[in-house]
Amino acid sequence: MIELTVIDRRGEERAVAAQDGLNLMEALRDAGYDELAAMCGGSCACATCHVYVQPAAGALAPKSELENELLETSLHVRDDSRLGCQVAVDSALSGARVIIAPED
Amino acid sequence: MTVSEKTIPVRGRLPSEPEIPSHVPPELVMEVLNWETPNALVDPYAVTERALDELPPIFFSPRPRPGVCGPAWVFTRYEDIRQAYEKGEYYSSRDSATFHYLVGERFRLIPLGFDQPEHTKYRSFLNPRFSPRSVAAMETSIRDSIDSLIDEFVDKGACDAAYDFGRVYPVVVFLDLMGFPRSMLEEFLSWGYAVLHSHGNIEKISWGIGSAVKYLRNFVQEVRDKPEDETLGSYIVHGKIDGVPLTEDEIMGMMTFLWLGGLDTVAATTSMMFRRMALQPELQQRLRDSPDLINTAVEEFLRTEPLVNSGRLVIKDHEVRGIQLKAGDYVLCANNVGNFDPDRFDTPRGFIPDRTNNRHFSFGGGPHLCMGVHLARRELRLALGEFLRRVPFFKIAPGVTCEAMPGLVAAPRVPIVWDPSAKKA
Repeated sequence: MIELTVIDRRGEERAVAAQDGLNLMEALRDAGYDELAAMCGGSCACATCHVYVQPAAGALAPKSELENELLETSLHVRDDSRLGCQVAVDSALSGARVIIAPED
Repeated sequence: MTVSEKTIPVRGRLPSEPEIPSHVPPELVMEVLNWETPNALVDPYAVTERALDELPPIFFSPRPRPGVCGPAWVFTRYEDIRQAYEKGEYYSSRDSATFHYLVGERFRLIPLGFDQPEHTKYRSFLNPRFSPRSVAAMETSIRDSIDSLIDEFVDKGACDAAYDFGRVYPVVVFLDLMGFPRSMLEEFLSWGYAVLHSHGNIEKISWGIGSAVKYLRNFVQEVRDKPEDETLGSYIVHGKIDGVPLTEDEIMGMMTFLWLGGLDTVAATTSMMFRRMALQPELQQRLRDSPDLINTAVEEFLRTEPLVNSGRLVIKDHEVRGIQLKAGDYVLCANNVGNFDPDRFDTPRGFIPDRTNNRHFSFGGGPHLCMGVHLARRELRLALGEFLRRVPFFKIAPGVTCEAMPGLVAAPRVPIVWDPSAKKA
């Protein structure tokens, strides 16, 4: 399991243990974060699993061009924006702070 | 509320039906007769409720749906539908919405008619125009369209919330977005109506789609001769992907697809939304009292009004619930049942305006999730918010039964009345 700190849209902070091998969107859903709409189910098509990720264990794998394009369409994009469905839950994510971005 | 007694699965083969594939077990061949019949229920989709008890989770419907799919496996459970939308290695949308094949056209709709990786390429080209950012920039003009319609009837104490309002404002927004002249509104709507509401009548569908394609070809030619402007039509006609100009087929594939998608769905959802509020006064009052519920209420209106059941083509043999599906079979995703699956939604037949975790299929799902989802939501939220703010408490006009069809026709007429002297703004 990978330990994360998750901050929801109301600013509430909680420790979450995420299952290796999932993606971050799935891990957040499993942890009960229903506010993450993830409408396309992880197909990198909708940008509704937008999160801000602040890693603690080194850099994450880089964003694909498609992920970048989708993030650019959001009203709330930042430098640390990621699509949850495109981030693997692995050791690089250990200790990361994950903030659920405002709804578009 | 009574549920119609007409849910009669017809077992066996109907005459003059196309060939049913030999791997389909005869006991699973059945047709549902009342899912698209107009009724006067507050929730017109109540007719699908008994599907859970009376029909197998997956059955085979022999009736072809021209332009959508041939005889098809009908998926009724949320989880199966989700898989059909999300598992691109098994299910393709390439044959969905192929109405234009009826008039001899062979271009493929873009992006729906393509699987990965081409789909992603086209979607990336169009996405920026439908993004939350772009849609936010349209808010003022959407609100203006809505307000100018309300201006026309607010003092009269009566309007047809479907014909005078829901039918009109999304199309005005669409015409402006694409760069089509506003004078095309009535013609577009009559062609669109023929394509989407002809119950499989091939002559009518052909007339509608043929007229649209002919108009679009001329329009593309005109736009090509003009300098590029801000409209989406111009962006497509002058468009390039990786530096290569779009081909004629690509341009027509996009224009035709947007034309099909831009006319009807927000209109029908709006009409159903107002019909429900007129028939369910406590819901209308709650939304008037708590405007902060509008966003979640719109999502609940969407969930409870799944206008479209999407077709998919099976592209690889596999089994679902022990049933053998073969490449070449069609699947119809019965969103009109899956959106009410008790395994997925608590109180599935209830209307819960503050429902959370409301991941319904009214925009489809997976990579082909409706491209206009952000625009549609914003239009619906603005329409609901502005209407409730400006128009006093309304009800259905006296003596009107106000039937609705649980499908794309929805509620073509929703005559409502209110006391104009109660007007607030």
